[in-house]
Amino acid sequence: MSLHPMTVTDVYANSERGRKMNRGNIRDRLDSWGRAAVLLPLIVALVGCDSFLEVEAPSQVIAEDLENPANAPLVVASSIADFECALGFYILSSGLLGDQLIDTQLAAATWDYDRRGFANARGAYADNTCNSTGNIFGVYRPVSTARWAADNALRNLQNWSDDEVPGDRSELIATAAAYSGYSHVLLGEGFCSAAVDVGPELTPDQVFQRAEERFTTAIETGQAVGRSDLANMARVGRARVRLNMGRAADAVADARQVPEGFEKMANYSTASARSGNHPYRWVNRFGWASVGPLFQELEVDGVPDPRVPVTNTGQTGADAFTTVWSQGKYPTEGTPIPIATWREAQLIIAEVEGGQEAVGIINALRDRHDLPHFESTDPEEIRAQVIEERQRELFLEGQHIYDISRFDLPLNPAPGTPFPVKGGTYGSTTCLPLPEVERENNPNL
Amino acid sequence: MFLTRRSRTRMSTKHRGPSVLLAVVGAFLLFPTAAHAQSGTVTGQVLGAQDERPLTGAQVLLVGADRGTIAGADGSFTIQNVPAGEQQVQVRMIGYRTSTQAVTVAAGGEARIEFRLSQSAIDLDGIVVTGTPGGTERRAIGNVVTRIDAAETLEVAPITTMADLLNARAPGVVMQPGTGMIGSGPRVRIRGAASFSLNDQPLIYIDGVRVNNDVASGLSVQGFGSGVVSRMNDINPNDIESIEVIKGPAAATLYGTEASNGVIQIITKRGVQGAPEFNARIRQGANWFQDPAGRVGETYWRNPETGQVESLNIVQQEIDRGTPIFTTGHNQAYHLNVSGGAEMIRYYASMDYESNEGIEPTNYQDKLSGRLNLSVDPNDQWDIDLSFGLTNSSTGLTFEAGAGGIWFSTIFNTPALRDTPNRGFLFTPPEAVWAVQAPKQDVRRATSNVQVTHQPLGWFRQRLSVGMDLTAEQDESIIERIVDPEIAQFFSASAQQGSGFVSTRDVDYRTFDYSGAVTLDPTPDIRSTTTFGAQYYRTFTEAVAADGNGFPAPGLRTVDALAQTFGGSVYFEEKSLGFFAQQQFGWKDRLFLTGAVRADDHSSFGEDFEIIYYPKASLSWVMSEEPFWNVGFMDNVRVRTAYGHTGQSPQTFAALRTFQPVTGGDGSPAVTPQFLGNPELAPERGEEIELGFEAGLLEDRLGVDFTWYHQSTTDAILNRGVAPSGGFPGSQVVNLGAIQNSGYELQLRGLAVQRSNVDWELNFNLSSNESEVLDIGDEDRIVIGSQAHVVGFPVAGWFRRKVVSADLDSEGRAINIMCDGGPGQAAVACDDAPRVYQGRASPKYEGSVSTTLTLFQNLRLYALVDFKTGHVGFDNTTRARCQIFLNCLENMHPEDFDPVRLADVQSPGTLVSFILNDASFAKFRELSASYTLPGEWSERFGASRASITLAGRNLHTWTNWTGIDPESFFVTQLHTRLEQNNTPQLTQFVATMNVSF
Repeated sequence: MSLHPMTVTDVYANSERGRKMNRGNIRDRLDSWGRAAVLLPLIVALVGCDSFLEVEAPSQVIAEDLENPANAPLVVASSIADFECALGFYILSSGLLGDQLIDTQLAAATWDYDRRGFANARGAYADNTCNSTGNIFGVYRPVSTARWAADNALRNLQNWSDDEVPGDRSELIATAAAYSGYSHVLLGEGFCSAAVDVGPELTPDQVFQRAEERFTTAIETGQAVGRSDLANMARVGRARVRLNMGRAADAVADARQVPEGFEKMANYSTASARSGNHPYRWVNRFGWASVGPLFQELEVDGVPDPRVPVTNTGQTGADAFTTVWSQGKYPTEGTPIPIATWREAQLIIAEVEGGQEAVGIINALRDRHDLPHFESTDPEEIRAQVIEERQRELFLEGQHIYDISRFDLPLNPAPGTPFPVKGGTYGSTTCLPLPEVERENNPNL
Repeated sequence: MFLTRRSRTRMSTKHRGPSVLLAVVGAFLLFPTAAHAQSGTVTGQVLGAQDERPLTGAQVLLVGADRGTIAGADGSFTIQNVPAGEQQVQVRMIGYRTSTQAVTVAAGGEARIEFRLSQSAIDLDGIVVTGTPGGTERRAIGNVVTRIDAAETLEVAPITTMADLLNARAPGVVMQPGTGMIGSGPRVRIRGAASFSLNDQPLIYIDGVRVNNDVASGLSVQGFGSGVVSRMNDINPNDIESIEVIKGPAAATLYGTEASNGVIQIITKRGVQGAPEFNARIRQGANWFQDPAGRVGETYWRNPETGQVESLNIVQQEIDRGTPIFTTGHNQAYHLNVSGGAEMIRYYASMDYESNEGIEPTNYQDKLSGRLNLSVDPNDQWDIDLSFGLTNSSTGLTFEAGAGGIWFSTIFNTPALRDTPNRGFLFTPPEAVWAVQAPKQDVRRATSNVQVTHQPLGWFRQRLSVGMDLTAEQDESIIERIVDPEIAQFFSASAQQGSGFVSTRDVDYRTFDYSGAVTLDPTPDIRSTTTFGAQYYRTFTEAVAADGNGFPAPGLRTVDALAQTFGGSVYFEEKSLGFFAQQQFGWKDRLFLTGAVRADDHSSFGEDFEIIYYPKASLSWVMSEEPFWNVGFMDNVRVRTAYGHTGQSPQTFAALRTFQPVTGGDGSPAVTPQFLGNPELAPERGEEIELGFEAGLLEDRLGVDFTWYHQSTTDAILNRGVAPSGGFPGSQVVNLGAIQNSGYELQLRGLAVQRSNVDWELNFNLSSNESEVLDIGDEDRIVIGSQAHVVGFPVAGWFRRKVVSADLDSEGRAINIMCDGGPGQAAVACDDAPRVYQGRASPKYEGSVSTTLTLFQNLRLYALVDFKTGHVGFDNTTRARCQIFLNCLENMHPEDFDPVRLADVQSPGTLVSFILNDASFAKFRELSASYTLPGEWSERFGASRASITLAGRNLHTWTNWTGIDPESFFVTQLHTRLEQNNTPQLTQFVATMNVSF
């Protein structure tokens, strides 16, 4: 990453207004005070005082300051930060909605994820932001904010000139476009429908179409400026959305261009709760969720599968019922999470091509962990194994929930099963509904 | 030293407007000091007519000269420099009839005069604080101002906090305590909820200086993000002379933006001329949870091995085990004050130490406070009042409410865990939590002001008041690394490593207040008073916090010893500037017409919004002083009306579109959308008319004070949701709404018996509030959990689906469940049912009855019962037991219950009408017996007066509320009144001894 993020101090320095938020020049208002003429001596005294209602706002950045091209690197770096946070919450929410994770909490606000509920499309999943780092988290706002931040950066960069923007404007454009593309991927895969920029309701395919446009921009611009990492990141993303849209050949074409071993990671740190690896925080650190039964103690022909590292902590969750199984894929709060990988690209090829090419890809991926080989010539068996390999290879990477829809995988526990201890029954939704907060406040819906 | 480094730094740069200061100082210096004329001295004494008791604190005024003094401890007074000749001397005291006598003063001589005042159930002549210099006679103002005589109340009632002093003594002022945790305080709501989203707390002034009125601060031990330490209760009741409550926009216009919730003026004690008088007060007592086993009750569980239903009363179990969960806390206080002085300089100084323990070992408050008030009157023209108050307290907190902690594990206990190390507690036995956690808040607070009153000319008076209120809070919650296996077994592996949180929060209020008054008598019958002034307020808050996880070894207690640490700081600032002008005409001192206008600007207003103007008008007429008045049984009658506007400023920075600095995933700086902002944001505007009268009946033995009010809030600020797809989180603040509140306030005071050996007084207060949402913009409703703002209904009424019919199947499941389909609609399946109105969350009526019986001038018996009714509470304790933990009887034996109730209980939290219950109650709030020792007994140990009081508080509750205490809720919640395992109001017994030397 060759961006040079600016500090917040830089923002102020680049602001004409500096750190002051001036409520207005009181001198300009004095005509209105004429009605209080009896106070003339005091008013005369005030004429010399412009700053009476000026207050300091050192904890906030005023929006117009970010519209300065000099702050472009910070704006793009911020859109990455928003995406990285959103990805963590997306993995949690989609993991609970699917069967990778189960809820262990007493707080009812998170039960709907695990219970596959959302009957009234309200609640934390719709409202909470990336700053909600307690035990109740949201997903629609984090993903929407990340999408908006990247698109906003992209719009501004496309309107600014090279001379105005410090550094390489094209590189910033490629970056913003790639992350916007991935925000769209999360919106399209995780939600039954979505909206962008307070616009009309979009189907997942319409969202994927927007993602494809942005990935194309990222690929073209990234290649032009020699940023192969951005181009490959976008290639994996474009392959993913093309596959989602049923354009398998186009997907494979992109996937085949991804070099072996490529990985684009989302970074995390212990610098703040917001910037931490959320799957680690929720499952390992706080025990607010557990790895689900289907992903506990997985093996390949009797050999423990290191791609799904899981440990029984022996602790009971806050609901005094659920045993917490921690995950080992992200062993620390600062462990990166894959966004786009050669592994995923290979599995896309395997899924589309099937046959012995798929078997070869499966075994090549298994070889990375010294796991026994898979052998089969039955197309259905091979396809089933590709799906299984995706579950394991892409464990807690935010892919599984859409796989459940794409492959029509059985829900576990089955819909109608009582939700243990906390009441209600499991539902059947595998996508998060467009929240009421969007419908109620978006005039185009 | 009190002042922190940050405070000092800011103080050095605070004066950005020296020109204003210079202008005001100039105004003071413009007028030359007048020379003294030939004069004499008036001395005398003020006594009660019935019992000849000295009336300490009576105001003695030289009529026409607009100056006077205060009667001392023995009722005596001295006024020097009285112009020679015949003078009228007037004595006023709350609760007594005003008396005026003529006295002739010889040049250089001394004239003596004695007053014997009769008690009166109404007061028309007392001076009240109105925002103008020198105060105003009550008879001249058109709105009601409720005054609480703190010193008198403390003599009879078990008062340990400022909240105790206010509760049930001012009609329309609803105190909602929320929790009984030591150190907490109430939400105060005056005349209903006037805002959907803004702070609902009245402004508090101490001696004219606006002060910190935070309802709740400190660590979030309640869950749901709330600390509970009250800033109001920093104020020591022993130092208060009186409290005046200004209730609504009609009365609070001159206080401008931020005053729409009313104003509480606290006037502290000042020295009176005379020899030093020492007053000592010692209090000892106890706080306890009345009937905890009965109120916490039993939980149930069906043993899967036996199939039998087992029950557990965990409170009783622990009592029987010898390890009671809730213990009796000791409360004690030691107060000493001295006052006295000469005519030119008088003083009041006090020191107070108070220690209160709650019902958990971690809950306590130790408070040391002091006050020094000086009054300097160098000559007839200048009065200088200096006040300085200090508070240093440490408050340990309990673990209540929300999720987690002692109360959570206790209330949601289960017999299933009885035979485990948990002993039935859901997560953790109390001793394990107490062993590792002791969250606390330390506070240092200083309030000071200088008030200079200058009367350079007989017709002109001006006043300058400059003051500040500095609060430095330090919160700390350290959990050391847990190594004791007996304790560690109840905590997760990460929790066993320990954690820490420390924060400092400095809140700084600055007040700069100038006003002047020109009083002219254009004709002998008409008095014109023109008042004008300007106020400048600045408030800023700066907080720094550090926290982290993982102590590498036991015994470490500082955040820097943690393996992983975080930190942050925030800063908020607000400023307001306002001007007012008021014109009052008085006719024959019995008809008063007042008009005023105030103009305000505020840093929180949107950039596109201009200055706001607030008008005011009032009329007051003392009808009984008209020559035509001839109603035998009505001795004093005043009718009054007032109309006025005021406002409420938006939240700090709400108008701005902002981004928040955050940390990127790689640890680099980043920003994220924070507030959408609104450049057109304006203050909320409150408008009110009130009508009322005061009457003294039956020779002033029955006082009636009645007020009807009708107020509306327009431009009410609503948090309009923001579509997430627009990128910004949360909501946008917009001026869209309107609210209406109306009601009445009645105060009756009866002097039933007034004899030399028997004095019996009865008081009755009653107020009502009708609340209605008039407008919420384009929305059908604004939902807040189980509540909603809906046009035509009270603010934040309860709206949930309501089951109207259900059957029970053979397995004990509610079936065929139908819900209310809405007004005029047939019942529908509950999934299709709308939320229907189920009552208001705030009381519709509140009031109190109190009585004081004094026998033989020495023994005083006092009792107060207060009540609140007409509202519904949300009993989330019962909901959680029945719907989440499934340990209610309804879960065990559904066949014994109404299927309609079971339909609620068995729903996954979607049907909750069974816990939306009537929260009406009456509390036997105060009971006391006070005995004043005969003078000869007091004198034996050198005292001039001594008394002993035995008193109780929160002695009994009459209620049908299904939870633990109908007064419990999360005090940080603006509208939600939800009880979930909160500490109830504690019962208290105190023995107090007062001695004067």
